Amino acid sequence: MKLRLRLIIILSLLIGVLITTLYIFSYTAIFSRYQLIENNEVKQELGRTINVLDQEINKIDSTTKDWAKWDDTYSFMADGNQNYVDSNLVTVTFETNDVNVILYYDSSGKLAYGRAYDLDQRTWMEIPHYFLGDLTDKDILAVQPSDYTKGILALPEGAMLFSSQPILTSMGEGPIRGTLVMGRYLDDPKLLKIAEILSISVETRSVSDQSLPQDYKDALAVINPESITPINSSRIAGYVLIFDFSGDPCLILRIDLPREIYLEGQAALESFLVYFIVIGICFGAVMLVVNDRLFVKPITELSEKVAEIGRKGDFDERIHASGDDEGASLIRDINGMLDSFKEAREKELKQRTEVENMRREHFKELLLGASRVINSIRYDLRGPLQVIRNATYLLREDPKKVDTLADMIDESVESAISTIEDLSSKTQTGELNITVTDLRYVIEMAIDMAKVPQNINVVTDFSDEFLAILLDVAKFQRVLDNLIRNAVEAMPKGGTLTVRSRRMSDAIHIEVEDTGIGIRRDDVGKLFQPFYTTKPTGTGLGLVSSKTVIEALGGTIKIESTPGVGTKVTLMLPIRKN
Amino acid sequence: MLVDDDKISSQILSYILVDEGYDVDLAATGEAAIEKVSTHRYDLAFLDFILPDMRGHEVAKRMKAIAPDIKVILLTGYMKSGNAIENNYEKMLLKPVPPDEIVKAIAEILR
Repeated sequence: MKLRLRLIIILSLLIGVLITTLYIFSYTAIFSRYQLIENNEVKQELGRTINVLDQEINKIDSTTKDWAKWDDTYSFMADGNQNYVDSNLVTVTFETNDVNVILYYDSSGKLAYGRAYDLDQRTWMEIPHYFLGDLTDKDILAVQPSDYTKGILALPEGAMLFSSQPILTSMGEGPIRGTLVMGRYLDDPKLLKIAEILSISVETRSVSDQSLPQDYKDALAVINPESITPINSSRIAGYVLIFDFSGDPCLILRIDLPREIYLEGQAALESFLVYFIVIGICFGAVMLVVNDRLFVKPITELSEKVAEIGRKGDFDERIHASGDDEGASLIRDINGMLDSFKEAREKELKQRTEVENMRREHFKELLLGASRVINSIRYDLRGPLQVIRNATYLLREDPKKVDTLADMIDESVESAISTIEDLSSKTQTGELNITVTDLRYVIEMAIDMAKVPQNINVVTDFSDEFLAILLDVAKFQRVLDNLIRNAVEAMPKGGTLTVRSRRMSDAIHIEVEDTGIGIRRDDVGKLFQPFYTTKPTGTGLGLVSSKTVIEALGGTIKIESTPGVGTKVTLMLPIRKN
Repeated sequence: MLVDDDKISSQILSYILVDEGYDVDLAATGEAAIEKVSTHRYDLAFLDFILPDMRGHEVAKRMKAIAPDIKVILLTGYMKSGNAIENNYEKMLLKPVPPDEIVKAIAEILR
């Protein structure tokens, strides 16, 4: 995968994780706070609603108080005059003061007089059963001048805001002539008015209502003293328990308001998310550009440069490095590597040239060797050929000499054949044909065959009279023949040729020693190189083939020589057990 | 005088030269040839270049030191380049040389 693609994937993942984390963080940190604020707002609204309710109660209480501390009422309780009733307890009074009931109880708690008005239907209606008869067993009755009660009454007909005040003179003096009670149903029109004041929707339900809607039931289960539940994403409901004057729960009040804050928070969160994404993308893009500039571009350029150097094979080329960062250090390392490559290549080139030179040298030596061999053959064959030519010339001149001349021709041909055979024996290794042989016999045969010139004294020295040895007789004889010939050729003016055999613990040593011209120390080492020769007509193959044969027999060959004194060649053959 | 270590070679050449009417003497080594030159008079020495004891031109040089009038023909198996052999011989022939050329060469030199 390309670096850039990899980076895009990594950055996308990173930014994705970052945005998710930020979103979760802002959701918990910001949004939950928004929710808290929303809850507080709902609570506040609930408080305001209760306040309005209290104000309504206080309004009734204030009216009740005015009417209870009034001389007319005080005297009405004493005389029950119709005039009071006719002028005061009229429909207008109920409508003006916004009350449903006005009730007069005497000091014993009996209902003295009372009227109930339906504000909605604008008709008189029956006094609720609760207020009929005796109030002695109810706590709303005023006994002392300072006694009063206000609050909510849970009536079977519905909840009622009420107030009860002791009936006193206008000066507020007693004795108490009874209790005045005024009340107002907390019915739908009333609630609507409250809702209008608050500009929210308000509802109430009796806690003892058997058919409470589910949301009320849910709210009732957790209400303490209020409960707040979102209805949906745009509206939220708050519930609060309303207690009656004696402190028992009687109503559940429910308000319902738009979730402005929540929506605000959500919008804020959404815009946050958009900001995060935009910032993330910008950040990613900047990172990509920076990455391209800082890494991808230099790496791509470097890669192209290195590839180009590789393609051209030009190790003299160097890459420019600027700065001291890791990239520059890498470039310097690559340059260092190129230096090494160049060095190695130059070395290799030098070595190749050396090898080439050596090969050429070796080839030259081979050619020289081949030309030596050819010269040797030419020399060796020219003698016999000259004889044959002379013989044919004579034969033409004097055919009577044919017998003598034919013999001579035969001998010359034999000589030529033996020259060729000798050379081929030196160049052929072939299989060894091992037989048990008497060493002394082999040596004596070889000396005999070599036809040593008269001026050379041949000395033999055998440690054993008879020494059985495992040898390839033909090949070994050729080795000896070669060594004896070399010895003879080293003594043109005569000398002594000594051939010895010695039995050692695990080997037999055969020495061929002459008193000839000797070989220079520098040349002794080259004697076993093919085609090396010190003789004008030698092939340089004799000693090489001798060494090959001796080594094939498991032995070794050694040459010691002193110029002007002589040469000694020692063959060391292992004694074969069994 | 024919100087050659190869008996057959010198023998057959001697037949040819005898047929041509020359007196022929044989020697197998350089030393022997030089010795003969110091005791007898020879018109011409026919030398094989490679002799068991020395090279033909060396023999020629020593012969001429003893008998300056002696003519020398070298018979060689291979031609050495250069003129290291100087003026110690009158002619060099390369083996195998046709016998009539040998005869012609000898006749020319002895004329």
